[in-house]
Amino acid sequence: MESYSEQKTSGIVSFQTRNQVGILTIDNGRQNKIHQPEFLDLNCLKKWLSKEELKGLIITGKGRHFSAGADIDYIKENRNNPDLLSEALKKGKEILNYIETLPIITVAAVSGACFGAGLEITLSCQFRICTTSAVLALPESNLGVLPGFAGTIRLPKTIGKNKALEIIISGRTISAEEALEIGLVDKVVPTKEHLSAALKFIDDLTQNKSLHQIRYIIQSVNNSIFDTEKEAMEKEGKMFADLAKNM
Amino acid sequence: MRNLTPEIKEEIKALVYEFFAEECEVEVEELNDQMTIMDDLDGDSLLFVELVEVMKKKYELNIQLQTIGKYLLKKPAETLGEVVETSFLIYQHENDIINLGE
Repeated sequence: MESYSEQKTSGIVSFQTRNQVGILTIDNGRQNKIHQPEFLDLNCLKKWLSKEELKGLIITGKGRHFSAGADIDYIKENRNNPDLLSEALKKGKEILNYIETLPIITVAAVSGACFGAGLEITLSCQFRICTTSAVLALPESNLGVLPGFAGTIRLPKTIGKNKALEIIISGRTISAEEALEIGLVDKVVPTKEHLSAALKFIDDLTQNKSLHQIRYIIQSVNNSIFDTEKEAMEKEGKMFADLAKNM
Repeated sequence: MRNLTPEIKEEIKALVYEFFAEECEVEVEELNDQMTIMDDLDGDSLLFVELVEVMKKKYELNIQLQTIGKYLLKKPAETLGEVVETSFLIYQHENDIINLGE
């Protein structure tokens, strides 16, 4: 039987839990614009996640589109205040860094337009699932700037340096088909099935595994990226020994 | 410039209608050229970007997002009929659509 939690909101997002999977929904008008880099209260997100025994987190957009990206007016209003802009971006990146290192399965469920900051948010997830008609892009270069929400850092890590450079410099759109081909998304599903596909993806991946085991596996893989190799190997050994107690 | 034959025109119009019918969850038969994307179909301008992506794939078009954006600023496509007409021009002129009327 499916279980749902009460919906909570923070900034332009809402949180809900469905069968041990957290769903974070961007909810800001028809295009789900990211009005400022600090698009949610990080403490609120941490509190929500700590209360629930989650096996996964899905980030999605309410309605037709994942997100049309940053609110250009906010950037224009603050263009003569570089300190404010970079400080705001720093806070936004703290949110994405936190999501990136979560020890649970994270999936971005994408439909419609997924541009700029929207695409950068999806890059903080481990997996991306999109619908057949989804269109993705980092169009910042066409506006005279560059992706400032860690897109220039995470896109090369996801699809490789050459392809990332070409996509970022051109600012061109990427179809769902191409996104799958270049490894920007992991799965393409029919229109309106992105959320159910993401839920099924997490269920399938975590089936017959304990939360403890899933968290250790993800932590260890994250350690391989964020720690020195020596530290990561030591931690892996300790986690193995801890899990072996239950064999 | 590509040749826009009557057959291609019919095909593009059908493609546009089918796209909006699916995205806006209405029957193709319910649609007409006078309907507005925003008010009648509860759509938005980003739907046009998705539509162009479908056309790019089908007809191997060379058209950039910023070109469409600039063109639509000059000549907005608010009704389904206007979207169909703009789609004809995109098919014919691709990225050169931006130079039309200059």
